[in-house]
Amino acid sequence: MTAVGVTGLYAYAIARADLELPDGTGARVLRHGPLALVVKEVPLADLEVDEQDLSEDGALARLVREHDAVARAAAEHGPVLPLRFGTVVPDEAAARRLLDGRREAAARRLDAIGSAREWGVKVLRTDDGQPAAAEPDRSSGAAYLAQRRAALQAAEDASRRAQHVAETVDAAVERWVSDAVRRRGGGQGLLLDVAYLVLKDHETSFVEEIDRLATDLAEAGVRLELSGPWPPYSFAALEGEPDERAP
Amino acid sequence: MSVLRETSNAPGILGGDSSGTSLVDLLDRVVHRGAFVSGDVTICLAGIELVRLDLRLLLVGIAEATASREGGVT
Repeated sequence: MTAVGVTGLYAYAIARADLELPDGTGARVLRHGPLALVVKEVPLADLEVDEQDLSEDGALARLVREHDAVARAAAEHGPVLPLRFGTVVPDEAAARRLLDGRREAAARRLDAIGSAREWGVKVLRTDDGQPAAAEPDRSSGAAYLAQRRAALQAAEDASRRAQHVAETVDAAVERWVSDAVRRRGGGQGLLLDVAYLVLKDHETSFVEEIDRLATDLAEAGVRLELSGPWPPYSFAALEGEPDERAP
Repeated sequence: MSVLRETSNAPGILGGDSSGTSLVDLLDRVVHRGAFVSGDVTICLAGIELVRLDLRLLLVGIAEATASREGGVT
């Protein structure tokens, strides 16, 4: 149980010191040298939410939406590096230490992002191309091996197909994007999961290209999903940071 | 066939809220991505950790929710 009245500073994003945050977010800009931290004082007890409650109207959902809302408001007014959800420092001195240790890395990332925004592209299968998991055919050694070969071949085909989709999308949007982060495939149906960084001037062209791709891919039995614009979550990673993310 | 577009806002408007976005997509971004900073980001008082979000539980929850949504066929 957290002591009553104990507060911390929830940190939403790293920004340049000249960031002007609009009113209404509840957060403020803590400036320190060339950088700033977008923060909000929170009672620590407010952060003790049930992390297994992923319902849309739970306390965790509320915190997550607020995190994104503040990151968005900040990103509208300048380059920002959104921090991972749940970053809380004890006080302003700790906030300044956080910035002190990262001046160069943060400045480089902020310059690289500039006015660009993140867009997410996912490509998923719509056809029922996945062979059902079959009982091993043990009627004979040959039958079993044939079945295994077929399964391996299907897996290879799927992997090649995913790679082909990734290359197709990348090639189509290459002119309009300044950076891309591709994730390893997730479930069976997910062929591509990539985040693109797109300068505002290129956004219309990028979205038009995605629309064209979506039509082409639909004929091949896949569905394209576009989400965005987002603050640059996928491009905010700071070099030199020890990687302690949970798997 | 048309694009299944899930924009959290109309293109060109970054501000506003994320009400059009599912919680799974939001969690995927704010928990899985974003800059990770180490250091004194866990608050202690008298050597006792007062708050530490156990994000491993959260990450597992997201992975399961995402897999069930994307593993199936539409």
